[in-house]
Amino acid sequence: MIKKAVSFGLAVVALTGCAACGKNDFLAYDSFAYFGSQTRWAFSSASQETDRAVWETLKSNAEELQNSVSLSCPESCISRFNAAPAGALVELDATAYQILKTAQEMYALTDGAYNPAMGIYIDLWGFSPRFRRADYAPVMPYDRQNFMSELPDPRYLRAFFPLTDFSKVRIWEDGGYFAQKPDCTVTVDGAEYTMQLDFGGIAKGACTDIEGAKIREAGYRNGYFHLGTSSMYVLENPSGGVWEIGVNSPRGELGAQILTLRVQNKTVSSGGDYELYYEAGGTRYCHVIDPQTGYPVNALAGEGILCATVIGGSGALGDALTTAIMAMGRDRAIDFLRQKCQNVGALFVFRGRDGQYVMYTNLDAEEYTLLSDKITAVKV
Amino acid sequence: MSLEQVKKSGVFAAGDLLLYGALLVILTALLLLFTFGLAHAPARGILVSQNGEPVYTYVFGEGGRIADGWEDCVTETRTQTGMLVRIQTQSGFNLLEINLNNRRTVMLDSDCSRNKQCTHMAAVHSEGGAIVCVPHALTVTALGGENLLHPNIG
Repeated sequence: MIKKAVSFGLAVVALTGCAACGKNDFLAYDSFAYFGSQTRWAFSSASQETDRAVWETLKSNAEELQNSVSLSCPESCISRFNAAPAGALVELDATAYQILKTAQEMYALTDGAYNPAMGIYIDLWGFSPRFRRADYAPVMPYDRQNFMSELPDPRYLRAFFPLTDFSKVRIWEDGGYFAQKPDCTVTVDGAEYTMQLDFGGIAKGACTDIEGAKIREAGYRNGYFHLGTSSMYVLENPSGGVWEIGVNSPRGELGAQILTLRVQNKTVSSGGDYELYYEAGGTRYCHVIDPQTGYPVNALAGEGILCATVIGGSGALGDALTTAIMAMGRDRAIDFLRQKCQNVGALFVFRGRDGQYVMYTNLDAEEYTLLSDKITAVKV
Repeated sequence: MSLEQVKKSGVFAAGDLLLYGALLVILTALLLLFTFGLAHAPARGILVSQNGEPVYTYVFGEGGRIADGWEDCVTETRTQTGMLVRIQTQSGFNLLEINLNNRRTVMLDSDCSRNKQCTHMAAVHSEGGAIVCVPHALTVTALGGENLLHPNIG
């Protein structure tokens, strides 16, 4: 009997060991070179050579997209568009064209709540990439030395509105890819301004789409890829099941994470007013600008949407929708979830003037677990 | 043991079944411990890495250790509540505060950017978390690295 017991025991120990050690094959590659963010691919290893080859392709894709649309690259298509005079014709590459096309669809779908033509306001408020440099120095007439404590001159806030009509940007294919900048200028104190685009609200999502497709094409079936904290392509977990994805909290008093989402083979996008912001005079000014007011969301009303998350659809769509939902305000966002989010899951956390937190969502209860007891969930 | 003896005693005698059952219970418990218990165990300390290379570790109850080659770049200063750790990278500096009372670590200061985005990030605490300073490619995680099996977004 002892022999039988020992044999049986060894067999179970081996199986137990395999199950536990299987986690050791779940690896991650990280890079900090793209879009000012951390890029991470986590996966169950196929072979070291294959993993490395796929990772090199992912980095190459990210670099190509960054060179195409990022404002950090002076020669990107979007930097050239921004530098061009009003009415100019600008040649694009296929990547920039596709993102511009998707952005137009998102602009229409959200009735302008997602608006990449808010670029000049993003710069005015100090959220363009140039402000992140440690050696920042004022160069534009509206720049402030201490842009995180001095607010923009209201004259600029009023004057720049004609430069934000994204519907006036024309794009077309004709043996190449082209965009025409709207023939609209604004002059303040003798300086002339034109439309400025910023694809910060969609580019990382678009990149996630490209990378997710590549990972699948290479045969990987589990793991995840994320670019920054806003966009994630989720496959299956290492056991072939559903991932539990934590959603980070917009405020410390709500704990480190507000909920976990159960997700498998979907894209998840998330954004909030807590990612990039500064505080002046007791008010928080975040990087999401309300296209209707030209102010950072939540800065004027004293209440508003603190964060939004979209599950499903493409990364570009999710990235644009989280920005749009933030800018919509509660009532419009609820209508939007009801009327235009039938094919994706969405949620947002609203804080009222009374300090109460409410999460509005179209997700079913079994799709998430709320972690904070300070948030009330409402199904829309 | 001959075939006749096996047939006579049976493959699963009462004693065998008891033993198998006990082994199964013990090993299942071990598997559950590996799978869930250790993953949720409170962090023993923090790990600071740059470009994936370990720079500094602090183990609660034991103290800090500067990685080989980083001795001239990392300085530790005792405070009333714990430790200030200053890390000088090629791109700039980061200043961490490790609170030994509540075992939370925050990024106090950095010259990475004007708005010092990494100083706004949530603390690394006993259950996990991560601080990422992208311009300096520097990460602060619970010791042992981030738990890749518990990803987060936002």
